[in-house]
Amino acid sequence: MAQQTKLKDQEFFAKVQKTAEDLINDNNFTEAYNLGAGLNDSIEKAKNFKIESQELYRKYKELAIKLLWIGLPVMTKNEVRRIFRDHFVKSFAIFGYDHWVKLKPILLAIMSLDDRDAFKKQLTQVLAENQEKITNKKLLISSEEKDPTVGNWILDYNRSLGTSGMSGIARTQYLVNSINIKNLSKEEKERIQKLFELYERLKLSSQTLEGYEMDVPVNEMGVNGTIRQGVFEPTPPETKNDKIIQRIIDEMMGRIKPTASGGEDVVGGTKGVQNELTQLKILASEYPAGSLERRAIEEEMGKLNAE
Amino acid sequence: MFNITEKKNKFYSFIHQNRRIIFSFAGSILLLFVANNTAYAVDNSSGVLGTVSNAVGGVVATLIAIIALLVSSALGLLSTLLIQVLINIASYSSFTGAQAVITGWVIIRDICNMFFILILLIIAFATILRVESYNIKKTLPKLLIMAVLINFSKTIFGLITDSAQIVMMTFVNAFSQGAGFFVNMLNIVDIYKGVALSGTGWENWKVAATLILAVIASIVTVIILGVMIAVLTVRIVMIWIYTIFSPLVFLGFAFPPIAKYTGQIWQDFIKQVIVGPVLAFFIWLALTTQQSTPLVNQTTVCAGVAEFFCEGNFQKFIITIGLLMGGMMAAQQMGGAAASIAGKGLNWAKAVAGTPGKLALGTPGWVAGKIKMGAFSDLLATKKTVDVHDEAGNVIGQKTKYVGKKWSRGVGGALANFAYGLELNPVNMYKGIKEGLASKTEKDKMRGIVASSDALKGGGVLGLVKGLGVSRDMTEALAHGFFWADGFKRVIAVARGTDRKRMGISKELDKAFAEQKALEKDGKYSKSQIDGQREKAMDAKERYDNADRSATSPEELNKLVEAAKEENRILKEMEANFDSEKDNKVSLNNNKIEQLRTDMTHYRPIQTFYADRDRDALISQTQQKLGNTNNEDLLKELFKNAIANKDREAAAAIMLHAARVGHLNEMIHSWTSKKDVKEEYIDENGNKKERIVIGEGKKLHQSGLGLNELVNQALISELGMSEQQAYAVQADASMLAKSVGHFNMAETITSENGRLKQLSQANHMGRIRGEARKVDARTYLRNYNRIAHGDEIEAEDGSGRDFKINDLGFRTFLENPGAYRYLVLRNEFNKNAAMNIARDKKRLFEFVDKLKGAGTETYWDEYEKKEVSYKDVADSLVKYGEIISKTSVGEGKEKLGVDEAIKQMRESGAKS
Repeated sequence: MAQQTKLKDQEFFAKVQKTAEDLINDNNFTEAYNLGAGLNDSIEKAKNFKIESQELYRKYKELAIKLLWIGLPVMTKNEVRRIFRDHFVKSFAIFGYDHWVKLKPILLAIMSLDDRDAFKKQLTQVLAENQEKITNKKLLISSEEKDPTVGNWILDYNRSLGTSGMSGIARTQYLVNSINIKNLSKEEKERIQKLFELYERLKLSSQTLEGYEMDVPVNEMGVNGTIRQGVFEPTPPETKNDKIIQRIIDEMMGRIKPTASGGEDVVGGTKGVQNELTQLKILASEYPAGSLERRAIEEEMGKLNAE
Repeated sequence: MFNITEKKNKFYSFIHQNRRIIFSFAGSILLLFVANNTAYAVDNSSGVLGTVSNAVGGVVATLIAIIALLVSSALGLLSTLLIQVLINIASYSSFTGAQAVITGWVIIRDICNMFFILILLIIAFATILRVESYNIKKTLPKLLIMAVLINFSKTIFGLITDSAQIVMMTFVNAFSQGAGFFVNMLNIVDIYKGVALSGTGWENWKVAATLILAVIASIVTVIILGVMIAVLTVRIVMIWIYTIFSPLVFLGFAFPPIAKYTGQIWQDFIKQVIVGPVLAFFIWLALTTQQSTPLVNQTTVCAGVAEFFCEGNFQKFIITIGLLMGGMMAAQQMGGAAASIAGKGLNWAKAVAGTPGKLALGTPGWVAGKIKMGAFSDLLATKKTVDVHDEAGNVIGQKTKYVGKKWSRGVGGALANFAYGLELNPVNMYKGIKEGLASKTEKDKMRGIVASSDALKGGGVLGLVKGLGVSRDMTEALAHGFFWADGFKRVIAVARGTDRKRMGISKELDKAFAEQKALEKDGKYSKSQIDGQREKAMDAKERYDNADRSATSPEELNKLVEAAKEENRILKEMEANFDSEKDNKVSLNNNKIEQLRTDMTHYRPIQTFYADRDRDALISQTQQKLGNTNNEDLLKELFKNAIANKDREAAAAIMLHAARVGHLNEMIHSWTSKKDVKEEYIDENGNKKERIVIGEGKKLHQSGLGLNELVNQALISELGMSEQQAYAVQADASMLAKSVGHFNMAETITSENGRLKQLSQANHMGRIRGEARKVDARTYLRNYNRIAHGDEIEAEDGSGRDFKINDLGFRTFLENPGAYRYLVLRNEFNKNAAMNIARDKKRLFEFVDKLKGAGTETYWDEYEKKEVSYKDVADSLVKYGEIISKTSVGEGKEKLGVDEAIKQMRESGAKS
C-alpha cells in the first residue's frame, strides 16, 4: 500500500497514470485488476488523504475504477455487482469499451445455468438501482421530471416497452421515438444504446438458444460452422487464394516440407505456376476453340490449376 | 531514568490489554488441574507441577473448595427436605374427601341436573321436527342412564382414582419407610464423604474439584426431586378439579354437542390418574436396581476424598438419576399439566447435567481457538515477515515468523511458532474430518453418476444396465409414445450399442461423402449435367444472335461470340465424356447418404441432462472454493495437487478458473509431456509422414495442441475422466480462453455426429481464423496480446520460452496490414504482442519473402491511400516491438513505471 506522502506526489501520480493507461490500452486485464484494486485500497486507507487532497483523490479514484473495468473478467460476482451499481457510467470513459465482451468470461465461468440466470438478473437489478447520471438533461417520466440516472433511464425504458424481452425493432423504435431520447447528443445516444443493448442481453435466459453464451462449434454431416446465440454460422470455404497462402503457412509451420531444392523453389514454384498459366492462356487463345491443340493446352491448364 | 510508576503503568496496561488471554490461560491451567485430579488423580505433589500447585494453587483451591462446600451442603440439606416431602405427597390418597371437592362437586352436579330439563325439551322439539340426530328413541335411554350416573360421578371418579392409588401405594410403601433409602439411592452421603481440606495445595485442588462436581450432582438431584414433587402435587390438584367437574363428563355422554369438550376432561383425568403409579414405579425401580444390580464391580479401593466419584458409586448415581428421568419422560409422554412440568424439569436436569460437558469442551475449545489464531503466540513473541531462501541462499519468497520477545527469547519464539496455527480443539478436528468425509462421499457418489451417464451414452446392454444409475435421465429419455412404445424402441437401439453403431455409420457416411466428391471430379458427365450445359450454350448463342448490332461495339460482339463458342466447346467436351451410369451412380450415392443420416438419428446418444447438471454443480462448488485468486503460481500448484490427489472436479475447476483469469497458457506450459506428441506432415516427395512436435519430458506448448495434450494426459490418462467428459471441460476452457482474447487456445473442440472431438492443430487454426476475423481488426490488434498471434514453446536449451508466430498470426498480418501500420505508427499496437512478434522476426520476414514470391508484395493502404509493402509493415512492427523490449524488465513483461510503490500496489491488489 502506497504511503500518503507518496500519493500526494504529482510525479508519482503521473507514473501511476502512465502505467494505468498502458494497461488499459493493452487490455491487460489481470494486471489492470491488480493495480486497480491496490490503488483503490491505498487511497481509501490513506488517512485524511480524501479530505486533504480531494482533487488528487478524485483522479486516483477515476483511474482505479477504469482499471477495474478493464479487469472485470477476473472479478468476483460481488465486485461485478458493485461496479455495475456504483460506477457503470465511468466505463464509458474507456475508448471502445464493450461491457458484454468483458462480462462474458464471468458468465461462462458460472457452470450452472440457473445460477448464471440469477446473476444476470441481479445485474439488471443493480443497473436499475444505479444513481449515476448517464446523460445531462432531465428525464420526463409519467409527466414528472427526474434525474437522468441509469436507474431512471431503465425505468423509462421499462415503462415504455415493458419488462419482458424486447426485439431489436422495439428497442430501435424506442431509441428513435422516445421524447427523452430526442434531447440527447450523439454521444449520449450511443451510451443509452449501449446500456439497453446490455440490459436486453442480460434479460435473456442462458437456457434459451438466443441467450446461451457458449459458441457451439459444429461439424455435423459434413457441415462446418458455429452455433452462436441460436444462429448457425457456416464456416466459409477457403478460396483458391487461401490455398496458396495456406501452403506458404504450412511450410512456415513445418506441416509441408519444401521440395528438395529448398524453400526458394517452392516460392518460385508458386510463382512459376502462375507464370506458366498465363503463358498457356496466351498460347491457347492462338488456336480455335475446340481444336485438338487448344484442348491439349486447356488440359494442361486444368492440371496446373488443380495443383 | 528508571521510573517505577511508568513500569507499573506499563505492567497494568499489559495486563489490561492481554486480560482475556491471561484469564483464559489461567482458566485453562485450572481446568487442566481439575481434569487431571478428580477421582483417580495420581499423586503429583512431588515434582514441578506439585510445587507450582502447592505454591500458587493452594490458596485459590481452598477458596473454591470452601464456596463449593457451602453450596453443596445447602443443596444436600434441601435434598433431604425434598425427599421427605416427596414421600408425604406420594402417600396422599384422600382425593374425594377434600373439602374443595365435596363443595365444588355438589354445585356442578346440581347445574348438570338442571340441564337435563333443558335437554329433555330439546329432544322433544327435535322429535316433533323429525331431526334424526336428537330423536327421542335414540337419545332418551342414554339420557336417563346418564342422569343417574351424574349423581354417582364423584364415587365413580373416586373408584378410578383409588384403583390407581392401590397400585401406586404398593410402590410408595416400598420406599416410604424413611428418607434413608433415598439418601442411599442418590449417594448423597458419598458426595460429601471424606471431604476435608488437608492444608496442602495439591490435596486442596482435589477437594475443590470434587466439590465442584458434587455441586453439579446435587443440583441434578434437587431438580429431579423438585420436579417429582411438582408433578405429584399438580396431579393431586388436577384430580381434585377433574373430580369436581366429573358430572359434566356424564352430561357430555348423554348430550353429544358438548361431548367434545367434556371428553377432554375425561382423557386428562385418566392421564393424571396413571401418571402417579408410573412415577412411583420408576422411583421404586430406581431404588431396587441400585440395591441389587451394580453395573460395575468395584475392585479398586475407593475411599477418602471424592469417594462419590469412584467408579461404582458414581455410576450408581447416574443410573438412579437416569431411571428417575426415564419416569419423567414417561410422564411427559402421557401429556397433561403434570406432564408439562415433567418435560420442563427434564430439560433443566439435562441442561445442568450437560454443563460439565459443555464446560469441558467449550472453555478449552475457546482457548484452543485463541492459540490457533495466534493470541497465545503474540503474547510470547513478535510476528515478523522474513525472507525464505533456497539451498543456494537466494531469496525465493517471504513468510511470517514469530521472534521471541526479550523476556522469552528463543524458547518463546519456538513455542509461539509451534502454537500458531496449531489445532487443539478436538471438536473442530472432528468437524473438519466429518465435513471432509461428507464431501468425499458426495464426490464419490457424483463420480458414480457420471460413470453411469457415460455408460448410458455409450450404449450396449451394459450401458443400459449401468444407465440405471442415472435413472431420472434414462426414464425421461425412454418415456415416450403409447405405452412407452417409442421408448422401448429406443431401449433396443441403445442396447444394440449407441456409440459403436454411430461410429460405424459415421464411417460409412464419410465414405459416401468421399464417393460424392470423387464422382464430381471424375471427368465424366451425366445426361442431366449435359442438358444443363446445353441450355447454357444455347443461352450464350441467343445472346449473340439477339445482340443489337447497331448499339454493340465489335469488341463486345467478339466477346459474345467467344463466350458462345466456349460454352459450345464445353458442351462438346462433356458430350464426349458422357457416362450413362453417372446419374444413377450420383442418385444411388445420395440415397445412401440420406439413409445413413436417418439411421444415425436412431442411434443418437441419450442426453443425461440431470447427471450433467449435477456434475457441473460439483465443479461449480470446487470453483467457489478457489475464491478469486489470479496468482498463476498458486493456480499451477493447485492443479498439480488436484492431479496428485486424483481429484477430477478440482482439476477441471482449476482449469476453468485459470482460463477465465488468463492463466490457462501458463498451466499448459507447466505440464511436462509424458510422451512424444506427433503431427502429420508432407515430406519433400509429397508423402505423409509423422514428426515429433513435443518430445517426451518437454513442457507442453502454450497452444491449442498443448491444450489438447493437457486434457489427454492430465484429465483422461492421469485422472481417468471419460473422453467425452474431459472434452466437455476442454470446450468450456477453450470458450473461456476465447472470451479473454487468448485465441490460440480457442475452438479446440468440435461436435461431430453427436460427439465431442478434439481438433488437430491445423483444423483448429482454420476455425479460429474464422472467429478472429469477426473481431474488428484494430480492436484485435490493440486489445489482444501475444496469445492471439502465436504460441509459446519451451526453448531448445530449456532456458525459457520461445515465441513462435502461428497460422493465426501470419493470417492476421496478411489480411490486416493497414491496421498493423495504423496502430504501430500511433504506438497503440498491443505492446506485449509487438514485443513477442519482434522476438520471432526471422520467421516474420521469411513469411514476407514468401508472400513476395507468391506475387503478394504490397497492399493498398486505405488510410494512407497508397501502395505499401508488407516488408515496410513488418519492419515498423519489429522496430516498435524492439523498442518496447529495450525498456522492459524480465522475460516478457513490460516495464510499466519502475516504481516500487506501484509494484506493491499491484501485488496487494493481486492478493486481495
